[in-house]
Amino acid sequence: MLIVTFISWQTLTNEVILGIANTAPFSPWSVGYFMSRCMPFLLTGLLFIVHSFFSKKEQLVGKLTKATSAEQSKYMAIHYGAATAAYLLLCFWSIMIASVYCGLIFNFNRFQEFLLPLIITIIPAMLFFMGIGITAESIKSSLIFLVIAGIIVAALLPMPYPFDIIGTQFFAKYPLELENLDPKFYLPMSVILGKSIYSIIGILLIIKGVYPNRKQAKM
Amino acid sequence: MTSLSIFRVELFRLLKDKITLYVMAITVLAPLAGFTVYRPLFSISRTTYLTSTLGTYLANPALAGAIGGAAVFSLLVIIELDKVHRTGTAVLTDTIISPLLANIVRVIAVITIAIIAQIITIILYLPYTSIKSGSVFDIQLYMALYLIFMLPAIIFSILFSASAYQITYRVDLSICIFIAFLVLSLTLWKEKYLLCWVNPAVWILSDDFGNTRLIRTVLYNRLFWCLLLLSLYLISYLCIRIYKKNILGSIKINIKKFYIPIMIVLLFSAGCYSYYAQPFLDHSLAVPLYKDNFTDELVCKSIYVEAMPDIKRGRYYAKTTFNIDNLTGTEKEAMFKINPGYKINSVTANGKPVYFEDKENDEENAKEIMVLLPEDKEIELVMAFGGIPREWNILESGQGLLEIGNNYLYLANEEFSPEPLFCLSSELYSYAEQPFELTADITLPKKLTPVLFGKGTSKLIRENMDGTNSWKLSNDRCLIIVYAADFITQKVNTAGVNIEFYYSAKHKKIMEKAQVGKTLKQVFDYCSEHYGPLYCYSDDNKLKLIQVSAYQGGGYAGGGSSIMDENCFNERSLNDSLKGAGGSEVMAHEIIHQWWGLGYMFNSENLADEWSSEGLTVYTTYRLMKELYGDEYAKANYVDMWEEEVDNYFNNFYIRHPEYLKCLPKKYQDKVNMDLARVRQYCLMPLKILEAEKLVGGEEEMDEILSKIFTGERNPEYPYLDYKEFLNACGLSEEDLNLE
Repeated sequence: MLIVTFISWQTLTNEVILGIANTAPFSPWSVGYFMSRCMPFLLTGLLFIVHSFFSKKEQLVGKLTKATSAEQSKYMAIHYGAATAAYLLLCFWSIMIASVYCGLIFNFNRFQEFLLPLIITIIPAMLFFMGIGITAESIKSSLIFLVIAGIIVAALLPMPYPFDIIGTQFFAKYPLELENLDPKFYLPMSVILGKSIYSIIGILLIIKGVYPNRKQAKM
Repeated sequence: MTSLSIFRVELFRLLKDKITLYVMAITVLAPLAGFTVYRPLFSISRTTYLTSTLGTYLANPALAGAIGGAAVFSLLVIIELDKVHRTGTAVLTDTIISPLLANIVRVIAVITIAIIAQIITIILYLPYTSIKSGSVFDIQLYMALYLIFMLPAIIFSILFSASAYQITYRVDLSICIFIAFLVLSLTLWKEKYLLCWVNPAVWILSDDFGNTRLIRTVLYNRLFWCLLLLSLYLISYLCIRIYKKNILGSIKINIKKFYIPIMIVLLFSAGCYSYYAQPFLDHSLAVPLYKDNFTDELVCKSIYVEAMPDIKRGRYYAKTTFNIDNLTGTEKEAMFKINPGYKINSVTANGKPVYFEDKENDEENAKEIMVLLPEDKEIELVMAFGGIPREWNILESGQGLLEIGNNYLYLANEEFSPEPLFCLSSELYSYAEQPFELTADITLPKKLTPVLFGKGTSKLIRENMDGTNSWKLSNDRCLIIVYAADFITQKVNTAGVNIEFYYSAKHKKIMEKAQVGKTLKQVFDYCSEHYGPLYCYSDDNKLKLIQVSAYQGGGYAGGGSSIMDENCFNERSLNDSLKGAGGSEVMAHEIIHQWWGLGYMFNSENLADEWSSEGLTVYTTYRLMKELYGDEYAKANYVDMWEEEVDNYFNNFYIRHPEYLKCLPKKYQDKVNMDLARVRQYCLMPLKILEAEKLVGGEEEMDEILSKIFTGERNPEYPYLDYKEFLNACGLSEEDLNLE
């Protein structure tokens, strides 16, 4: 939480305050950019939580929990739900910092405008990387660190908008390509498609993680 | 168990502890903050953060590491000292080992771990720092900065925190006291070079010319704190609770070790003495002291200086011989000005000792020496003096200029030799018109070449067997300014001027890449023809351009010389596309500042103002490139770029909505303005000047206007070119040049 607070504050005071892509610091574009800059840290936190579900301690305890009458899939679903809740709480904390910042400095209060850019930044990335992380853990525990490295690469490398899972490029550059200054927040079809594909892949991998092997689960 | 075996056990126990490993990891990672969020070194650019290469990749990270390491090691030592009390095991351990021994062993073990963490840090950052620093990387400086800036800060934090705990036996109180100690150093004490223990007063680091003076001041700071904190630790040692007694009871027993109070008194006294006897800063007062000492009854005909710099110890010794005519026929007091750090060892006149008085009246980094001259008509006055030259106390947090080291030497005026004040006429603001000769002999390390500011010359007399060279310096004034470094000289004859450009050998590759010789010729030809010659040429049309240390903090010109500090040729600055389309064009830009910025200074209301020396300099660079490479090239690399940046600038949210800029806290308003200032100064103003060019009738007309501005008479009380004067000269108003 301290790290997220620090990163949020640094991003707000060093980048967002200048206005992203010539838009206001409180525009949906700027807020989306702000969230995308926090995403690597939030997603890393999420993956560390997922990693803890596959730790040695968990595996030892797993022998006991698997012997109980509780369904493994429900047990795993609760675990992943808890991880999601923790991740969303941290996202909410970041959003709160940004909202208070915009509210206090600019007297801004139309926070509903932030909803769409925040959702398309937070949810697809969460689903995709969580699915990848669970899959990586089920193969080999240390692969999770490769996934974390992948998040950092995805955040730093310039990518075409449909592939930009983190979203930094999209929020920083797309408004400059539009004709008007201060354009309304708008998602091109290619970006919607890209985010949807990432989300579907993520959901499928999470489901596979929850129901790893139906035969084994029944046994 | 012996102390050593206890120490070994404690050390290995700590190394296996997770908290210790986290503390070490944070210490090793802390320098990373110096690349981004914590950059205490002064920025040489007004519009973006830019410091020297070594400042960027070495000093800032070392300073960040110092703070990070100090904070976490402070916590570690407090936690470790409190562990036995927190867990209730002190009743057991105290029966085996004396708590006095146990505590001291723990502290030494934590210090040892700090040293290990420091070694890991040094090894880890070495490849990156050496690659990024390139040709200016110096392994000795690298080691010195980490071992003098970072490691002592961590050790001081351990000693202080351990002392706080041993006195209070409270974790919360100890942490609060430490935080206060840390915050004091970072805030109230940051301008006091001796008091800032965690953030030594470093404002810049020289890439090319050495940093010996600065390192010495920081070493002195470390000595002061070492003495003080050791005495504090020993005081706290007396307070270690034993036999379940309270603090006073424990002191009564512990003080029986008589050597400890003796050591406390000695260390504390030594610490206080080191504070008051610091040798680097003078004691200049804010009020002016000196009267006009000019008299035509004393005539100084010549000066000879036997200069003996002590490179190893950073000191300067000399013997100056003045040939003076005393026209009064009686004894006469003569006043001399000298650096406050020097001690006059002896003064003789015609071989006989004479009375002299060191007034110790430091003012503007000099002090007066009164010498009672005998009644003889012709006097050979010999003054022997020396010591560590002191810097002006108003620049306490910006020291480093008076370098006497293996890589660089700078001595100016009364730092080189006493200045005879009876020669200076305050009414005329100049020295009395009389023929004069100053000569000096100086021996320097082989690689240093002395260059004199002004018309003075230096000649190599002898190469000595001990790796030094002896030089003869001569000047036609009674003052001398010497720069000595590993200079490369580039001679260029152009526009009727013989230019000698002296720059550091370390900068050779960068200068060659930027084609400095060719660029010099092009700039001087162009600017002299279009605007007029620089006023600082000597009478025989010679000009010395001297690249000097970053500690000079800028440049100045006059009497046949012009100096530019090394940051004008900073490698990252030479890649700045807003100054020019390539290294050699940026080099041209920097040299053009000799006309716009130095030849004619600029004044603007604030730092974010669009009017600055950059506008005319960028415009002139564009005009030069147009002449050299054609209209298309100049338009593509200058005008088009300006227009693109300015379009973006006018699209900026705060430019379109200035009411929101006013909502921001002042700190962020300044930040936004500084970010936008770069485009205003480097793109918007050149476009306005280009527009002015069109409105006044074309390039020739604009050149005539600028030439009249440059060569015209200047008001000595206000020697600046401001925007209003420029507009008046063009016959235009601000609205005429409004590009919105």
